[in-house]
Amino acid sequence: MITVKNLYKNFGENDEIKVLLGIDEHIEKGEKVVIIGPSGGGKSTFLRCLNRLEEPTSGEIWFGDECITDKKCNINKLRMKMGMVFQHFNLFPHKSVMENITLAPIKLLGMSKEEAEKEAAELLGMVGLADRADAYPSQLSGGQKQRVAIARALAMKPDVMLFDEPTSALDPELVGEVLNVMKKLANDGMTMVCVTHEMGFAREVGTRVLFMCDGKIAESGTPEEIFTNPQNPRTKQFLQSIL
Amino acid sequence: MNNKKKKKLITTKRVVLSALVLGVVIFALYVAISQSLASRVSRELTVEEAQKIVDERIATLPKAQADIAVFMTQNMSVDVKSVEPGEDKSLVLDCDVVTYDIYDVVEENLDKYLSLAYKLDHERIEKGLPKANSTVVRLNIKAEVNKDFEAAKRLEKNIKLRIYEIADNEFSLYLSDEVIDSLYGNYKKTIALVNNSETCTVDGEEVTIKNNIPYKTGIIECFTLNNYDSKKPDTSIPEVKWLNSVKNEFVRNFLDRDDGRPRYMYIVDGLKNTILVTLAALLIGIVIGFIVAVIRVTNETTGALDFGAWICKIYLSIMRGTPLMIQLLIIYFVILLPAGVGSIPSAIVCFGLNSGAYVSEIVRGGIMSVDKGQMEAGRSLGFTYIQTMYHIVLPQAFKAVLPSLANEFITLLKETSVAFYIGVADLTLGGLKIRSITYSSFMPLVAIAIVYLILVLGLSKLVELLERRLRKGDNR
Repeated sequence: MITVKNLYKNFGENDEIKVLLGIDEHIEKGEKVVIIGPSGGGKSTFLRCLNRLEEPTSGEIWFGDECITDKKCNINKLRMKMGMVFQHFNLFPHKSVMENITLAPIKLLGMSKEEAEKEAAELLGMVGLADRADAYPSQLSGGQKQRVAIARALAMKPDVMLFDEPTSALDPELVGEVLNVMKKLANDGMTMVCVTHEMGFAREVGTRVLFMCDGKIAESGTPEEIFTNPQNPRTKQFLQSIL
Repeated sequence: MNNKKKKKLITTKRVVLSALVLGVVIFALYVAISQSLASRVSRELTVEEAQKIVDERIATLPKAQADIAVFMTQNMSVDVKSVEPGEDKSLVLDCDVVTYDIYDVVEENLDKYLSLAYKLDHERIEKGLPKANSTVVRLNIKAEVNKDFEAAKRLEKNIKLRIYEIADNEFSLYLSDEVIDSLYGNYKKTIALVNNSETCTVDGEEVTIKNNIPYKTGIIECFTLNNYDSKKPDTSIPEVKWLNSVKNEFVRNFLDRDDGRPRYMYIVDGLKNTILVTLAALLIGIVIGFIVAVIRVTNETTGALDFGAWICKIYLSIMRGTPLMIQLLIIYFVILLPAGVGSIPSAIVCFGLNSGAYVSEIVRGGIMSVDKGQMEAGRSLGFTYIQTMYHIVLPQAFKAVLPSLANEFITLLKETSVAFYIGVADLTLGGLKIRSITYSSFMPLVAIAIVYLILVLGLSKLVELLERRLRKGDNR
């Protein structure tokens, strides 16, 4: 479904900060890929390159049979098929929960307001917030915000969901409710790419774990392989330090 | 926050309340003073006092009035027949005056004066000398007139001298209009008499005299009463005098009519134009401001639109780097007037362009203040850059900059006052028009200042309401 070929990404005016150093990866439909690794390893940058929120410096990314990195491709069209959930939720503070979810389907998919609201209500039910449709983001807790953000991304009926550390900004007791929603989503067969520090979640939900450090995918394998029998010394070191 | 607002509200209430109380007190004071004055009965005046007042007053009169007053007091027996309080709080001296009827004397002797003047000229011309100048003619005739007056019969007249009490024990003599008018009326009749004389008799022979020859002027000047002031003096005590003058000024500046329209209509009409220009310019300013801000922010964050950003920078430099007044004059006289555009549309265009420059800087700050994540969230959903701007970033930016925008609009409202330079009949020009008619500055200028102040306060209040509405359900 997503194929990454030789992806490089540099930051800075003179490309002096090298973040991604040649990444090749293939993600199949239905896979739940969990990306772990130390800070500064390029996890988030890699994820953000997948829908071109970061412009890759070189390399190719294919989504289905379209090349995202091609300047001629309609990136906006492709992004509609790639939902994204951010660490800091990025809900629209001037809109209610319902408006947050229905804005894109109405404006981009041409749905009628009633239709969009009906689907949004279903999604809110799915994430357990059916009664907060009229609330504003500022009235929600962090966990509730993140669940709304997930519903907002799902409203576009994406083929793949990208999660960028979705629980990192949450109070520990709120992490569970978000992870539960993500598990539910995984069980429904959604293709997911998730950057996270929740090893329990990675082990339980992930079909494959990528360990990234120093701009490269250092190790890739099933959760079983990575967590119980890591091959790469960096992976061993990382897992030892956090477990 | 809430407490602060409450405090502010209380302060506003207090200010309004104390202003009201102050107004009521001033009004009550005015009523009390004028009432007490109206009820006061003037005391009687002695003959000596009246004589003293008359003498003192004459010393302060302009020369023409003094001449008449001296003339009359010399010839009247200052015999105070009755002293009574008049309806306008004045005392009236009823005097028997012996005076001349100038008209009769002149009519009787006009032919003599004219022929004298005629002879004065012709004797000199026969001797080969230039004509006599008018001063010589006048002096000669005046001497003759005085001689005739001495010999003329005197008329007994009863005239009234008014003596006003201007404060306790303070009196002021006033020559009533009828005294001066009787003299002045005679004078006017005499001028008509002289001007209508086409002929006179010289040595038994009738000669024609032309109009506008010097000795006719000379005769007239013998009877000139230099402009006397026949206005009634204000008899009130100083405090009331001041309030009266305020009232009169108010009536004169705002209620008196020109061509059937009260003068305050100049301000009302001007207000309409000021509001029209401000609102239209504001609209243009917001549109331009947002467009320029979006172009500049886009250029800064993504590097696109280089050319547009360059144009915007030039526009901003010009609009912020030159005086508004000069922009107004150039836009109107150099660009739009030759194209046949009127002054009001020109003013709207100019103020709109100018305001757009300032609005764009404000909005740019607002856009920058919106979290970068908002743009990313919008883009990740599939919105284009412009769509994200429009649906997500700008509404938040607008809310953030609303107070600054309000300040800009208040500034704009006040700045439109220079529009009168290109002939826009705005509020300022309305006030200036009244000023040019009444020659008084205080009332019209303060009036337009007050109108501007009310507009600004109203605008601030509106923005406050809008802000509160926008903040509803959002504690950002």
